[in-house]
Amino acid sequence: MIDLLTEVFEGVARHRMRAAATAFGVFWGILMLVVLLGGGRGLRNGLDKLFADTATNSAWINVGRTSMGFEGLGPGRQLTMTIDDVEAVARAVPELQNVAPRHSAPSGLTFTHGTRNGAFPTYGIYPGYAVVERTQVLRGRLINDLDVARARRVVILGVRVAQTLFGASEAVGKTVEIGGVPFLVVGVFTDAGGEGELRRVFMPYTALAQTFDARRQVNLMTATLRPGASPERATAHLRRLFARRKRFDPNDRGAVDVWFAEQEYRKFVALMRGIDLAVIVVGLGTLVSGMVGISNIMFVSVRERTAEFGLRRALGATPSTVMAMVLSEAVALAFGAGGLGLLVGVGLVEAARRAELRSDYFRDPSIDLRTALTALGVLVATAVVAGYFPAREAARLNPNEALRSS
Amino acid sequence: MVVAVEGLRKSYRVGGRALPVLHGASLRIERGEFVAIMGASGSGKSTLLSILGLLESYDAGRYTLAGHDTRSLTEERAARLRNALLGFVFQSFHLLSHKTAWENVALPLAYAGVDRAERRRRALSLLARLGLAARAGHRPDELSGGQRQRVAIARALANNPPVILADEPTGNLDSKTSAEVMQLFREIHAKGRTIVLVTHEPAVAASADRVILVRDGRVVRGDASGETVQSP
Repeated sequence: MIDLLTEVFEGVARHRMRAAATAFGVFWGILMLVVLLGGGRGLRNGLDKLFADTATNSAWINVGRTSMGFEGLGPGRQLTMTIDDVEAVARAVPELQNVAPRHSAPSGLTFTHGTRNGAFPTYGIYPGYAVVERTQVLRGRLINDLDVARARRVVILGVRVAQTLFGASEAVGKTVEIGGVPFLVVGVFTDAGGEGELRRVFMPYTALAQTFDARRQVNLMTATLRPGASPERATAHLRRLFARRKRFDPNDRGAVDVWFAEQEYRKFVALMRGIDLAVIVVGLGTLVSGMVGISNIMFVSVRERTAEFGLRRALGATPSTVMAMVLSEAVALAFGAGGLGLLVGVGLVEAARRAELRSDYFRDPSIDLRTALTALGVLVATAVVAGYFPAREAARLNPNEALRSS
Repeated sequence: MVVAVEGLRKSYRVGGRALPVLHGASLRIERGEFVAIMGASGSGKSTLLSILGLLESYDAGRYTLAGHDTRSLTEERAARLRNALLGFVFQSFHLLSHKTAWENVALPLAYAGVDRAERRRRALSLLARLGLAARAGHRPDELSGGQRQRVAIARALANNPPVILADEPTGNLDSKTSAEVMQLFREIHAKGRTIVLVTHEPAVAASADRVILVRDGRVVRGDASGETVQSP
C-alpha cells in the first residue's frame, strides 16, 4: 500500500503543473457545488422563516393610488380603507374568513407601569388577525370578539414588552397606562417572526378607535382563505367590491393590492425547485468536467510513460498492478482536489453562517454533510470510471513494444 | 536445460499483412551457459530474445523456460515468471529517471513482494558489489553511461534469477566501458548464472561460451550446447 501511494505521489509530482491544473478544476467544481448547496439551504431557511410567522393561507389587502380615470374622477387619487370596508369584505367575499383590520396607534405613545416605561408599536385588531399572524399566547389570552364588541380597554403584550414593563413579575391582570389611558393586560404572546414582532402590542380595534380617535380608518386588512377557495376568485371579488365602494376602474391594478401568502409561497417553492435543479446541473457538470479532466491527464500520462510501463511489466509488474497504479493516480487526484474543495466550501459556508449573513430571504446557510460526502464519493467513483480507460490502455500495453517506444 | 525452443514461429502484422520474422527457430541452452545470439539486422535475433524473455508471444512451436511450458501463459503468469526467472539488461539501460540508483535496482524486488527495508538492503549490497555504493542515492541523469548500465545489471540480478537476458548491453557504451561491462557479465557467469546476450559485435560475443547465429528467422548455427561455435 505504501509502495502504491509512493508511486502515485511520484506519478503526480512528475507532472506538477498539469496535475495542478486538473486538480484545480476538480477543486473549484466541488467548491462551487458546496457553496451553491449551502447558499440554497440559506435561501430555503430564509423563506421558511419568512413564512413561518404567517399563516400560509393568509391574505393581505391594502389600497393605494388610482392609476386610471373613472367616472369623471382623475387618476392619482389616494384611496383609504375604513372599518366599513372590512365589514363589507367579511360579508361579501365568500372565499375569505377571519377578516380583520390592523390599524396603528399614533406614534409616540408612552407605556407606563410604575416606574417603568417605554414606547412600542401598537395596533388595533380583530381576533382574526392573530390567526393570520400565528400569534401564540404565552400567558393569559388573545383579543376576543367580546373585547371588540364592547371596545374593552385591554391589551396583549409581546413578550419583550412585558419584560420591559414588568420585569420578572406577571403582567397579566395588571394595568398599563398607554398615553395616560389605563389598559388591562389580558395576555402575553410570542411570535415566530423574530425580535421585532415580540415588541408589539395589540388591542381591540374598537378600543383603539375610541381612545385614540382613529376615525374608523384602517391601515391594513388581513384575512385567511377558506379551505378549497381559489385565491384568484377571491382577488377578483375583492377588486370588484373595492372598485364599487371606492369608485375606481375594476381594471386599475394599482388601486388595490391583494397579496396571498400561498401564491407567494408557491412562487418561492417553484424558485427553490429551480435552484435545486440548477445545483444538480452544476453538480453533474462538475462531475463530468472532473471526469473528462482526469481522464485526459491520465491518458496523456499513460502515453508519456509507455516505456516506463513496458519496463515495469518486464521486471514483473502484472497488468493488474499497472492498472491499480494508474487508477490510484486518478482517484488520488479526484479525492485530494475534491476533498480540499469540500473542506474549503464547508469552511466558507460555515464562516457565512457564523458571520450571521442574513436578509429577509437568506439566513443560516449550511451544508448537509451527507450530501457533500455523497458528492465526493460520486466524484471518486467517477474518477475510477475516468481512470479505468487509460488504466486499461496501460495494462494492455505489449511490454516489448512499450519498451521500444522510448 | 533452462531454455528449450523448438520450431518457433512468429510474424507481425504490418499494414494488414503478416510479416514473418521467425521461421521455426530452435535452440537449447543449459543452466550456467553464457550464450551470445548474433545475426544481421532484421534476422530475428531481437524478436527471439523478446520471446525468450516472455515479452512477446509466438505463433507456433514450443518454448520451455526452466521447466515451464510458455505456450498459453496468461499475462499475469508471464509477469510472475519474468520476475522470478529472468533478469533483463537493455541497450538503453531503461532506468526510471525519477528514481535513485538503489530504487531502480529494487524495482523487481517490489514486484516480488519484498518489503521496503529488505529491498533497500539488497539493492545497496548489489550496488556495493558492482562498485556503485557511493552512487546509490543518485538519479540516472547524475550517472555516466557505464554506471547506468551497471545499475541496470544490478537490477537484473536483484531477484537472483537463474537467467539474465541482455539485449545489446554495450551498444551505447564506449569500448573501455564495454570491456568493463563484459568483464562484469563474465564474473556473473562465473558464479553460475545463465546469460543470453544479443549482440552484433564479435568482440562482445567472444566473451560467450557459445554463439548462436540467427539468419532469416532461423537458428543456423550453435543451436545446442556442445556445438561451440566461434563468432562469425
